[in-house]
Amino acid sequence: MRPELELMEQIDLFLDGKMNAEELEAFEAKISSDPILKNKVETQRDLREGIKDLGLKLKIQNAGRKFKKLKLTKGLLIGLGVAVLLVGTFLLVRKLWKEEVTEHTIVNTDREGWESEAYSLSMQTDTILITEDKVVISIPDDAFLLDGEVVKDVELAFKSALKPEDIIKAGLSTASNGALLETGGMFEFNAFKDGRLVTINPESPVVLSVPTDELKAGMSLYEGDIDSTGFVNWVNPVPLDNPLTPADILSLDFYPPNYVKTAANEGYDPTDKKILDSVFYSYYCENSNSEELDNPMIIGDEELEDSLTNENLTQYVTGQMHFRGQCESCHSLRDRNSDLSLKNVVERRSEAWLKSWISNPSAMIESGDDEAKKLYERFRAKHGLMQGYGYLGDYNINSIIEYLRHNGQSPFPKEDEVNAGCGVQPASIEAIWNKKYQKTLIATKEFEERLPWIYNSCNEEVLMLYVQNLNEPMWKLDSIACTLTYSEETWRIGKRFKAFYEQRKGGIAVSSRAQRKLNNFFEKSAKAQFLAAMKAIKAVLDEQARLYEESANRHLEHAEAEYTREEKNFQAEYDLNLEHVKKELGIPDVVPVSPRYTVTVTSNGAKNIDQQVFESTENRETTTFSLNGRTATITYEPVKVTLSNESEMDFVRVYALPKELYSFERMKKKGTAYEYKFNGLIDYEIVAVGYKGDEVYVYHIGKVDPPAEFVFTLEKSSEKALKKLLKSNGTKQERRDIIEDLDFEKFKIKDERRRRDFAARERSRWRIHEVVLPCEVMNMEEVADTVISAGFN
Amino acid sequence: MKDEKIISLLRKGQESTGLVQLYRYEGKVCAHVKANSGTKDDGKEIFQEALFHLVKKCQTENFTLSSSIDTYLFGVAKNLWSNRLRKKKPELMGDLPEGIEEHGEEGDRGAAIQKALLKLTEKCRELLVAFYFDGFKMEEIAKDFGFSSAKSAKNQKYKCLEKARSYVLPQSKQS
Repeated sequence: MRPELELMEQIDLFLDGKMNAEELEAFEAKISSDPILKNKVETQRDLREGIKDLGLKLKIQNAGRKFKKLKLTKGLLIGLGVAVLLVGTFLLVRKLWKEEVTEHTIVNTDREGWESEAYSLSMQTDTILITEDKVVISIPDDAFLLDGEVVKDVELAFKSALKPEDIIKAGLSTASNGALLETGGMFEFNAFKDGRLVTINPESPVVLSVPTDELKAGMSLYEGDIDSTGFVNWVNPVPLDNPLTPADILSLDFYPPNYVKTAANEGYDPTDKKILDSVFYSYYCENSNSEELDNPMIIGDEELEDSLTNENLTQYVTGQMHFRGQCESCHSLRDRNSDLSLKNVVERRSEAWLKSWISNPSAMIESGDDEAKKLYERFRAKHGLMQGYGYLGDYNINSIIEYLRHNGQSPFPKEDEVNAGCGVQPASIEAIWNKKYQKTLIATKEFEERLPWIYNSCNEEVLMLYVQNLNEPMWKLDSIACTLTYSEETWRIGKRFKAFYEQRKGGIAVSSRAQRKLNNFFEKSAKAQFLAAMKAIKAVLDEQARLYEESANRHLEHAEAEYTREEKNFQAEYDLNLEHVKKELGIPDVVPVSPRYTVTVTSNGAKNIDQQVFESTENRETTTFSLNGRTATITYEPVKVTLSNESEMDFVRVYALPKELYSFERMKKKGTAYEYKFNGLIDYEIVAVGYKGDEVYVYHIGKVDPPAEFVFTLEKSSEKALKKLLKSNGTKQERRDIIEDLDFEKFKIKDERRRRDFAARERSRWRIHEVVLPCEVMNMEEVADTVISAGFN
Repeated sequence: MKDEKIISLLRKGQESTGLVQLYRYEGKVCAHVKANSGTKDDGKEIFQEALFHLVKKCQTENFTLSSSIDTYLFGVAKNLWSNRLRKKKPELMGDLPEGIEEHGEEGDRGAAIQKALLKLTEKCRELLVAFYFDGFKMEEIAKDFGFSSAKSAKNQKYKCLEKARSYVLPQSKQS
């Protein structure tokens, strides 16, 4: 925790009185001496009080809602006097009448208060009808078949009863095998060709969209079974998929969690998608083996089946839904000595027995089943007889048994290895965030909602699952995503996908041809983008490496040039000094003659004049030499140069140009002035050069009389004028060396800036990297905490 | 449920059960507010405030109720409403029934604190309420909110608290 947060924890301990005497004394002393701390403590105390008040207010509001609900339920129970099941109903009578088609007779459900609306359809194109009740009917042009042939020009009879008053008026029931259903409306849909009932083409089904005030979970489509008295029994429920919410794919946010915020912090315009994209897509994760990209994961039907049945996941989750809805009010799965505990019930009873008991307990008792009778006798007084749930259908009852088999303990694998590593590659997102995926389940709010969790699963397979199975309903993919992510480390993500699965979101039809084309596109695009990103990054790094090498060479070259210049200057100056001293002292030049004797001399005298001159030159110190009454002096006098406008310059160089030597001497900065000891034997000029950006400033002193001090202002000039100046005042070597020296300095400044910029860019890229490819960077726990924390901001 | 039972529930921290019972008096308060140039929503708000005062009062030590809860709640609500009206229209003054002291709305400091808390994200508020009001343990909170550990949850809790503090003390922006 940050120190500030730790301090807050301290304050909490203080306010809770949980400090020991020693700590308390120290803390109180701190408070009385630190008014800021005191203020913090008071504010925290007030905030804590405020939070308690807030909690109480929320509780009061909740109580209000609870009160209302209580009032409502009471009203309902009085009104109906029976329990109400939360299951929807839709009437689909067409199927039941199939056998009667040949005889051209149909049960006439028309009666007073429920009449058909009639429509004539030419069926030349796809038709969309809106009925009086605002039911939208979408009919493909090849929707109707008669004797296996597509027919045109059909008559459509449609009637609906959506509101409770309409249902009552129409005299319809909402009962399913004796249990009452909550209805979302009923309708009847029949199409005729020349008076004969047509069938619906299973390849091109008719889609009805029935309006409702409120979308309820757990609605199913029932078929109406009409008996001779006209009573409708609702049977064969099929759960309804909840519709997806399509959106323009480019208006959705497919970036990783926190990406936009982080990019904005790094100075990118968060409103400019082009910029955000180009930054995002520049990332890639290297650990990914490219084989995966070569063979994208496509889930075949077999695997879908495997995943759904072998794991018993769908059954388990469906069973859980029903258990919670229908059973939990009386039964428990925990062993709490409850009469009706169902813990381990599968060990006590056979599956077949359970099935028939759940379906219809009273029939079982009547049939004389011993166990059923015993149960009934034992609990009838206290609990009454359980109602039958046969109307749920075999699948749902089996799923309840499946749930009981697990005693409500989730069957999801807990200790699977997690396929971590890279997680979702930006290149894959670039491939799908494309208009090509418009009108697929990718271009939906639901997919956008799942994507953060896909990112955080650190498993690109989860993304592939959705991308490459566009034709499946969302809930099916959610359930597989759940198995893919349900492991020790990522169980929270698995839990999320389970919740998504329970939303039972449907799909958007995509032809298999379109899916193949999109898969093809994805494969190529994702691979190309991945390689492009890799190439771009590699190019940047290669360029940096090249520049680094160039810079190193340049530094080396410059150092060599400096060394040569200094050596040659020194040699020339030494020769000059020595010649002067020898001349003054009257020492003749030794003409080198070979062969010669070499002798060792130990006494001082003229013999080590050379050494003394060397030291004088090396140390640039005025020295007087004497020999046989003659003296010679080498004078070194300081010259100082101060530039009044130096601070405005990017850099400044001050050169002393010795006429008699090889090249320039550098005047070195000491304090605010540039200094150099001038040799009395040499004539110097001074050239000072300053750079401000590309502008060059120059000052030239033609004659120097050391010792001397100059204060002057650099004057604006140009490269050309500088060259001209050097040409007319220095040697050729000096001109060349000065220009090289200035160039090097300019290069150095630029090079340093480049390195700094690159380092800053890399740091910034890294901060974004942590968000774009968190799986590569953090461990799974941290990833999940980041996502959860993001929800708090 | 008898008044004593309700009060003991409110005192024991089982507010919910007691509060649900008390909502049966909401209609009366709403009717009063509506009859005195207010709306039904005003009435609901005032009623909730009156409940707030009642619970706070019950939870102080040595509390005894001199009147019935009904009378008390109604008196406090009337009082609150006339205070609010007075702010709007000073000429409207209501007489206070006996045994019921003046009830103002929250003080400036309290209001500022509540405002700061409302500026937080809902999740932050939930987390803080769960800890400081409901008294859940950090481990339970971590589980409920999906954090990997109590430590992470605690860290988030202090971040939320820090944010709230920054709204109260906008001038002191410590790092």
